[in-house]
Amino acid sequence: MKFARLRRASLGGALAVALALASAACGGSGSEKSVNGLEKTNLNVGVMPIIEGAAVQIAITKGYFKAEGLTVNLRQIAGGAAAIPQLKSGQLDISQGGHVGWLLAADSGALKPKILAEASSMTKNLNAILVAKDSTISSPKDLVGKKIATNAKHDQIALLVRSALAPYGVQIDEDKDFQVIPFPNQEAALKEKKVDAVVVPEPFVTQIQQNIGARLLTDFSTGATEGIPITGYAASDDFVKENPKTVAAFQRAIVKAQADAADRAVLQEAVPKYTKLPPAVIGVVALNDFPTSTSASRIQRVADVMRQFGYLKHNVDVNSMVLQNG
Amino acid sequence: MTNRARIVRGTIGVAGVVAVAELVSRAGFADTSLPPASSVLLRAAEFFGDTEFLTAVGSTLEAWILGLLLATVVAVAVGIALSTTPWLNRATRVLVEFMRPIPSVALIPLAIVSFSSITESKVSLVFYSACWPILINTLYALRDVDPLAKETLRSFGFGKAAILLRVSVPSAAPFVATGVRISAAVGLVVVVSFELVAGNGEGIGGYLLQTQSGGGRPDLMLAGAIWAGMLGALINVGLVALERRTFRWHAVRTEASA
Amino acid sequence: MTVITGDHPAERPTGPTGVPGLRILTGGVTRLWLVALLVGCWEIIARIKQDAYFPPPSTIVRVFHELWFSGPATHLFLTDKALDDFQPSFVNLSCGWALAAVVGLALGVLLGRSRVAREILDPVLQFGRAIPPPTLIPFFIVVFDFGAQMQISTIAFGVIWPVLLNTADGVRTVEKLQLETAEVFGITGATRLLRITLPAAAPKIFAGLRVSLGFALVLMVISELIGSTTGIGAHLISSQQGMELPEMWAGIVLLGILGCLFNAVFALVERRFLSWHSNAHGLDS
Repeated sequence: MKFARLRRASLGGALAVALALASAACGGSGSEKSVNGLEKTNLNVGVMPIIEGAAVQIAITKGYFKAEGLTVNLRQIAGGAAAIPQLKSGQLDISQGGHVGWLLAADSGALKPKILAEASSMTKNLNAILVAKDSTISSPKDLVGKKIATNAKHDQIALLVRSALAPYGVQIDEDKDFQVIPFPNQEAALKEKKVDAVVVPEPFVTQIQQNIGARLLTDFSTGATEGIPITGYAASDDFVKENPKTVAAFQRAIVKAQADAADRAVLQEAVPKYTKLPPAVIGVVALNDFPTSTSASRIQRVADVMRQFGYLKHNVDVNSMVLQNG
Repeated sequence: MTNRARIVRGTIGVAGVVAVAELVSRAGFADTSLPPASSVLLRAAEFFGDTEFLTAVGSTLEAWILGLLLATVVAVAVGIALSTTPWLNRATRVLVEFMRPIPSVALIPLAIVSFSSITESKVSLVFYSACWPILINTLYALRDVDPLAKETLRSFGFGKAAILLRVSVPSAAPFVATGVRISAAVGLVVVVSFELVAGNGEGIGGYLLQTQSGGGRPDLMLAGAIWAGMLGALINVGLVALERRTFRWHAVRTEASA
Repeated sequence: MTVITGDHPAERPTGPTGVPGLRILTGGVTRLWLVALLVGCWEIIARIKQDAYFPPPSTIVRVFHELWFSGPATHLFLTDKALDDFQPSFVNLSCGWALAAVVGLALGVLLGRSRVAREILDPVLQFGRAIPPPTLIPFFIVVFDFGAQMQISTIAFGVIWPVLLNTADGVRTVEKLQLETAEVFGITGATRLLRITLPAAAPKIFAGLRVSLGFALVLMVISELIGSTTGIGAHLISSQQGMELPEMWAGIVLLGILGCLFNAVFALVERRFLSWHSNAHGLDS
């Protein structure tokens, strides 16, 4: 019967098309052995759309990676947590991410990360707790029982808040006191009094203060969180084991770029390339520190704070997780 | 004549909705950050010339079609196999009932962790979501085949396989095609949702996610939503036309479903 | 317009007649052996491979119990967290689904009765149902602000399409004979709608409602992606981000169970309502 044949033919054709497309899509990079003896020369690096990840773009633009024989593809990721499954499956080779995320991954066994380089650490007004202009809250003590907006629970920011408020004897119950609202929407929430305080990073710290006259209650540059490392570049343990020369080349290039990143003009040129932040905004916001060395003892501080608030279930060996540098 | 009238009426409907949307957004019922419908449409039109966006569309569609084709092949094959082995059919019923309602959003990390390329992860999720409607429609349709037709062939000495190919499958084909059409729509939604949630910068969802960094651009996001809707509607129209062509004999015999 | 049909409750097993308990037992075995086999294989493989992303079922069950069902007997063994999670999710789900059902039915009847209305609105409807719900979330946030309103509207928007399209289709394909008979007897208007049209369209309407119930679960999770602190979807997302993988799996299992449950309950209701219907043979698979 004509139609049975038609069906069979079209099924067969569809299968052939599917296979052809699939092989085209899955055709990944072949083996590349370079002149410098690098195991892998084509890298997919995950970067968050924030100023703290500028070093990768800078290293691409200024040719630091090329000088080391590396071709780096910058891949945007929404956040550190999103990078972990991608590192595990090889969709990303190296990624930027919050140290809180790396430690959580190591703790839960989801991934064995190796931190290759620090990307950013805390400075004045980089992250802050803001309250409305006319708010009655005048000191962190007054935050007891109030609604605080964060963009996610159990993450970096939540940890900062708890750590900053602990000296004032303020205990935070994340489920009750935190209202999860994405950063771009927190300004409206504060203005309409849906929340009593917001915890935001730059550029929102500057923007919210400018736009609705919000008051800065406290930032995190003093006390337990002074100069604390925030994000870093990491890869999976297996990747580092299999590609030591590549990793070393990456580290060298990144450190150079980190040094350059201290210059605001450089950032104004590089950051708009991988985010939608305009240079004007970059010109006025508080900048993070771009460390040019990687120290396990600094990252240990993050682990300690996490243990203090019960984020870590086991004792994570930070020393073995960090490729010391500088 | 009726075709033209239908197009005219359809256009009226679209225009009407757009007009209402424009009025509502300009009247300021909602927050002032709601963009007027006209600017959203303008953004959507601008996307036609945006190569970055068009590449993103291509990436989305690629994953979508791969997943859909794979799902069709597998689901139809499994459906045929199950309908001919009732004991296996009974056993898989519980499995299907349990796995079907699980949203693909919940499985995103698992999909990412299991495949070494983003496209493969996307395809796997499309495959997962697209399988169920096709499988269920296949089972339903095969069960509903006219027994008289089957008996007739059997009495002529045709074997089981021949009956399957010559009677059951063609008879079931239109309903399976409906299932494929539903899966096509579901699959597109799944890909875009994956791109938005997993946020890797790829595809339509990835492009839209980038527009959200910093201050957020609701007009771009809505323009992207419109594009996704248009794509889905076009695909549906295309598939309906294909169905009508291929199954003309079926529509003549039974009352046509629009 | 498309016709979306739902699935069917499991066949009644043809076990040996005799002791009813034995029949139920055999029925259970024929249906569950495959599931048990797969779960068993998973358990063994997971214990050998020790991958954090695929924990063994025994771990998942344990975490599942700990999270939601280790509470006091007075609360039906539900923990506080269970109450915190289930309540907002279910409320939003029910409201969103009910809203979609009511509006979908009303609009569907309208569309089914009038060919002109159908032709005017068809492109718009095909377009609307293809929009991926996550792309609309920022829009809904702006319009409705965070909270139950936003979630209910997200659910309702995503879930209305099967109801709408199936109702329209069902109303449209009411047998001419029935309509002509009604005309002969002078039955018009509301009476005709309630007594003839709706009952005739009932199987397709119910199929649409059933499919939309399944979608509602998916949309409930999506609506809780952003801006929610409690809820089953929120739990899923936060355990994904916090790398708590057994907890994430417990969420997945919960969603599967809920889906099965909703489906089974709906099938019972459907059978009750439509047992008289001559076209209802398709409901008992």
